[in-house]
Amino acid sequence: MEKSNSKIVAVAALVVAVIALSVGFAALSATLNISNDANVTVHPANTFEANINYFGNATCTPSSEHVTVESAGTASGKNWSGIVVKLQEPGDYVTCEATVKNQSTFDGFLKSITADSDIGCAVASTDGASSEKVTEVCGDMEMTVGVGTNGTENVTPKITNSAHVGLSGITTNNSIAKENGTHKVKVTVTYKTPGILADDDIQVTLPGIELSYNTEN
Amino acid sequence: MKKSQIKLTIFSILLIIMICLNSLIISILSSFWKLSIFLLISLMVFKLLFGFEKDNHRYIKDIIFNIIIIYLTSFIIYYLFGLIIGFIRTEMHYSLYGLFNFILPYIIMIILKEFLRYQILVKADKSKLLVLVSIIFFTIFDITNNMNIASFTDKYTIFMLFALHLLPAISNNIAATYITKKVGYKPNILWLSVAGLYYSLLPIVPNTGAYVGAMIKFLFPVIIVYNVYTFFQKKSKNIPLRDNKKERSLSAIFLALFVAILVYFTSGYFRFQAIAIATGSMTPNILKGDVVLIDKKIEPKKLKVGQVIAYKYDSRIIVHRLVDIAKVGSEYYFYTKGDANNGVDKYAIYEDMIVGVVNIKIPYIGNPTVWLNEL
Repeated sequence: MEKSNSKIVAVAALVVAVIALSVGFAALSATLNISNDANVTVHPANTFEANINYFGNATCTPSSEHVTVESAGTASGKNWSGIVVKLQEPGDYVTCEATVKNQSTFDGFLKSITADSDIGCAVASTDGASSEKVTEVCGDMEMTVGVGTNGTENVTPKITNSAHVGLSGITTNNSIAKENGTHKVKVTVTYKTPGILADDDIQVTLPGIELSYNTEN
Repeated sequence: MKKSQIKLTIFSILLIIMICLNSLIISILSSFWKLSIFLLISLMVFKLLFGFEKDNHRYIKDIIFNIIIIYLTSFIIYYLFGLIIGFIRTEMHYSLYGLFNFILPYIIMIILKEFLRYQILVKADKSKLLVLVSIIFFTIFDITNNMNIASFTDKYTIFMLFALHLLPAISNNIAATYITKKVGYKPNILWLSVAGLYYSLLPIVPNTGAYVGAMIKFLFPVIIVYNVYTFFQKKSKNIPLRDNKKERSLSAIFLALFVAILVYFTSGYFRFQAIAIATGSMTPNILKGDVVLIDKKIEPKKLKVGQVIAYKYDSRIIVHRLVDIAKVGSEYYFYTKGDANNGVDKYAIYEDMIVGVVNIKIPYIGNPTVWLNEL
């Protein structure tokens, strides 16, 4: 009987030790549930933010044969940058398009269009125009950005090599439907007429374009 | 109690005091060589005071053979387990430096320790107090260097000292004491040396993690004791073999099943993982102190709004309900909310953050874990 009691005590002690180990490791490992701050109300924009982005590839169309598109840039997230074109004479222009898609479950509203810098210019070849001439010619380069159903509804003031005021406080023609609604973003860069004629092709680098959307108009 | 046993008890208590001083204050026995020297001096004093007894036990070879079989079987299972959970490289001590500073002094220390244990237990005879004192001394001896570097202000370190060092040391020493009483000190030298050195001699070992590692260190000596106990039960002519075998088998099966189930659900290595809920953010559906079972076999793409999911965030696992799923290109983003919270969680959850789906809840049994975590 005494031996039987000892065995029961031994098995019970083992069970208790095993449970204590398991409870202890469970308590001290990082496997417990936590709650968020119960009083913080999350604005739907936080869930909306991740799901309205540039979608697909950007494309550019030159106005004539002697106009070259070196890069249509990369349109991803909320930023489109890296557009580089070569223009030869006044009247030349390039039109680039990209698409923004709203894959969230909330309707969105375009609120602002921002260019992150001025237009930049460089001479296309080493024995081309002088830097002073390039700067002079660059002053005749103008860029606009339009965003909307057709890409023509909300158009920024002209962006040049000395100014890049965007468009903000947009309240009309700016809605983008939830669950795969789209906006077209149209960028046009023009070699102004009348304008100074460059001795050579001018490589024009356009600023990056960032869009801001909200769930409230 | 005999006069010699009283003297031996005082001797053993003095040893405990000295080893405690080393553990908590002086800390001079910082290497296996120094620990071996301490044991050697203790043995010399013991010889002067009490003299040595010869080891005349029977069945030593049988027990050693059984221990070898247990080790071989255990290593096969251990390494098969590693195929599931993965392996890690160990710090091997194959160099001459490792041999002279680690392997050799460790084996010498084990030999001296077990010889001292044997001598004390032989003199202890039927004195339970002496047996207890010897177990206490050798347990503190085993963890003396771990106690030196422990910080007793941090609950995590205290628990790790308990789980990874103290509990296995208690288990080892109770087992070693039992085996010494039954068959002498030689089998202990074998299994304690292998237990202490395999990690330094094998190039890779299964990456069991702290929890499963602690379980193995604690339970392995129990297996050896059970084997020795069974061996002597078969040799015993007093107890009817059939009744005893049934009782022993039931206990062993119960314990093995219990441990297996616990390790399956709490280790996190298998399909289902149990976690305790530490807050009331999912009240009333899942309460603080409940345990939920996470089914890890899910495809994030097939999740539906309304399901309760577990995901990793900020080095914790959070259990909340899915309220929205968004697809951007080929990627999915998940949004969750605690049932009792006012708003949606402030962040998007990516596919690789998701641990699994919660379908089963066991009420209340997670409370000890939650209380311990809140200490």
